[in-house]
Parts: sequence; C-alpha cells; structure tokens
Amino acid sequence: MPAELVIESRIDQVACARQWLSEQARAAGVPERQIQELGLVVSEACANVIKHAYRGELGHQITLRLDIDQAKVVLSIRDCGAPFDPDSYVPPDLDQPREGGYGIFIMRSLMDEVHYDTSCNCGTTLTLVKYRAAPTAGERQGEGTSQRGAT
Amino acid sequence: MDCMIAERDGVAVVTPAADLDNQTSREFQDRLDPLVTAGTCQFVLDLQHVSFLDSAGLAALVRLYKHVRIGEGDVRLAGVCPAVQKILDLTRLNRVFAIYPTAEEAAASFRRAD
Repeated sequence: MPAELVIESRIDQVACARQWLSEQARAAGVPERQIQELGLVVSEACANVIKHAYRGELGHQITLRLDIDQAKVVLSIRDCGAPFDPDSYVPPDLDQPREGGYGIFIMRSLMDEVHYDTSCNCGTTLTLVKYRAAPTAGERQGEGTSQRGAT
Repeated sequence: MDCMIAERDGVAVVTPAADLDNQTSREFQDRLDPLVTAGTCQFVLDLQHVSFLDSAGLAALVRLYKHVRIGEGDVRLAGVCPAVQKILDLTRLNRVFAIYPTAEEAAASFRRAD
C-alpha cells in the first residue's frame, strides 16, 4: 500500500518530507545508506518544485507518494506549478565549482531511474526509482536477516 | 542557525551546529559574510555536526570559496562524515576543498603554508 504525504510549498516543509520518507523507508527495511540517498533526493526534488515550479509562492501543495517493495523504492512528487522541461536541463561542468545547478545532477546520479510526466497539463509528476541494494554484512548484523531484492 | 566561530592567527574556524540544507544555508552565509567583508580569507569549516548537506549547502560552501579566492585565501574542511564526503565526491568538490580529519589539522595546514 503506497504511503502519501502532502506538504505546502514552504522551504521548511522540505525537512518534513525528508523525515517522513526516512521513517517509511526505515520501517520497510531499506538499508541506511540508501535512506540517506533518498533523503537527499527528496530534498532536492521538493526544493526545486518550490523554487522553480511555484517560483517561491506559498500556499501551493506538493504531493509525495512512496511505494516500497522487495525490489525497489518508487517515489513520485507531484506539483501543479510551471511544468518542467527536462530537455532544458544542462548538467553542471564539474571542473568548475558553481553556486547552483547541482540538484538535478544529484538526483540523476543517485537514482536508478528519473522520469518527468507533464502530460496532465497541470504541473509535473517526477518519478524516482531506486533499486534496493542487498544489505552489507554490517547492516545484516544490525538488522537481523531478511530476504531482499537484489539490484 | 547556531554556528561557532573562532579566529586565531588569521584563520577562522567555523563550526555549524546543524545540517546545511535549504533551510539553514542562507543563515549560514549571513554569518560568514561579515568575516569575508572584514578581510578574513582563510577558513576552516568544521563539519563534525553536519550529517546532511544538500545542493544549497554546497552552494554556500562554493560561494564562500569564490569570495576568499579573490583575496588568494582558501576554505578547508574538517570533520566530514561519510554521507557528506559522498556528495563532495559526486560533485567533484573534493578537488576544490582540501579535507582534513580535524579542525586543528586544517588550521595548522594554513600556518605551515605561511
């Protein structure tokens, strides 16, 4: 059963989304290192929605939906703001340190799949997929043994 | 955000008390700007209390770096946890910021250079 959270378009809500996702993933037995990555990715995604899709305007909603099974974690983030055009994305030149532009790069680097859907004529649904890693020996020791999907 | 700042021999050792993210990075910058304006150009950022760093936190680090480079200064990091190290590696900012195990070692590296 997917979990759902609705937050407002305020930057202080981003930490709430991160905490919610971490708790859900931890309860589902996702390895801690992947929880950290998911937390970073949901922060980047929500911050982008607030800054770019809603242009910093308060009073809008962001809907997060999380579906975790044995094989993967699927997170979708839906907004009703200005649609995102993935073709407009230019990856950062990593040889030149810069003060912005790392958010999407981090999402794409840490996730196994990144999809944008703007077909509903109302904002964007970003879907992020992370295949679950087998736990390390240390994680198995800490969490007990359980059957997990491999990457 | 709470942030401890200690200056000694021209080196500012800055220890943020919490994560550097979208919510806190602006305030972190605001704490550092007066030091930069006053001419401090050697910084150690002790990240021992930072377990989460997002692109806004990275932006704050790079902004400081760019400002101090104008005065031929530098920003060096210490107390970096594995999660933060991973983001620095991913963005290749590990090539920009020298990273030391402790703030003392990072501060000493400036003195050796002098």
